[in-house]
Amino acid sequence: MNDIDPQLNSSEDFIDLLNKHQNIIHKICHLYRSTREEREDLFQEISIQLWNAYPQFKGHSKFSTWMYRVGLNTAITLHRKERKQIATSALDEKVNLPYQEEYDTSLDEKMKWLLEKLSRFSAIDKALVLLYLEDKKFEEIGETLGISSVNARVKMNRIKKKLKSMLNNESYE
Amino acid sequence: MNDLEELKKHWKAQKFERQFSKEELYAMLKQRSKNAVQWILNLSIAEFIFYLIFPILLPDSYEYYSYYKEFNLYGFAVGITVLSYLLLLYYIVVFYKNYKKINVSDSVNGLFHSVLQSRKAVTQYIAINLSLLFLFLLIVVQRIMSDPSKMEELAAQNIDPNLLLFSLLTSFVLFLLIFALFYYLIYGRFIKRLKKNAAELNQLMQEEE
Repeated sequence: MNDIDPQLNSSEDFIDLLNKHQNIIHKICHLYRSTREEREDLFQEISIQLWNAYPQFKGHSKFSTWMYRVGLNTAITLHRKERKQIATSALDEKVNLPYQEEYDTSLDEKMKWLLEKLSRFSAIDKALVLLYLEDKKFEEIGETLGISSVNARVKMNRIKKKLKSMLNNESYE
Repeated sequence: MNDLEELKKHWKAQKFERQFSKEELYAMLKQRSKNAVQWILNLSIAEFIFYLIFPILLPDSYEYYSYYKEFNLYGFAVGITVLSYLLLLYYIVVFYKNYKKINVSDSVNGLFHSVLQSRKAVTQYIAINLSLLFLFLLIVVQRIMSDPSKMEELAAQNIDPNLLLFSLLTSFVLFLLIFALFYYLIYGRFIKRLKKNAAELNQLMQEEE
């Protein structure tokens, strides 16, 4: 499944789409992994999963919408961390390693502050925050997570409150 | 909500310095996948294969069967063996069907459930297999203890039957504990995380405004 023939149109198209939308994957990786190595590893796995599932992509939804779904599934469920990382994962959950800057120096202070705060959120809440910040409709959020749009709206109101109190209580500068 | 709108703007506008080129993306797709689910599925298949070939690997399995004849358990032993293979066949079919349902394009919740369901079939199979083994062990012990000639043999060797029963049961429990630890080390953390996330989503679905 992983064999890529650059001559084939489908793989060319796929790489073009992946290239065009790679920021979506970068955002997911920044949200779910705290070190540069882990982020690059996850980026690779999401790309592989997208490529493997690409033949089943029927175009009923936008490519970017489908990318969020596959990306979140990979980050939350499918991606297997390296053994040494698995050994520390229990620790990570409790201590919440601070967001590390080595990956991208171009992120501004506000984003670094936000990512550090979000590192304490659960995997599901992170997904909700991502979809909220990306201005996704409740229907799309519900479909991506597998919950009703009513549930998505209720939960989104809570997430908004949580984010707002975070913004009010702490300075990021 | 102005602050939140500002945060959204910031989030959407963020630029990542590290942009992968098309060549780098091509190269990535050729790398080996680190898919935890695929890994678990491979292990599950290995487990099925193990159970399939394990009785064949036992060098004196035929001798065991003739030993059962002494206790009038031959038919029972053959029955249990046939049942084990039927169970194995059934669970391989269930497992394969569940495995086909796993789809990365599914919703987050849908994927949780298809992965958990797939793993559940293997766990069920192992639990049933171990229960059968335990039941079989109990019946064999019961037959030994109710056979006066065997009890005489034991007495001649200065073996206390109660002690024998106790040590057999203790070994079995110990074996189960080692088995459980082995499974926890392999799947425990992954399944626990998956269940926790699934439970959080389920709770979300039950919440009302």
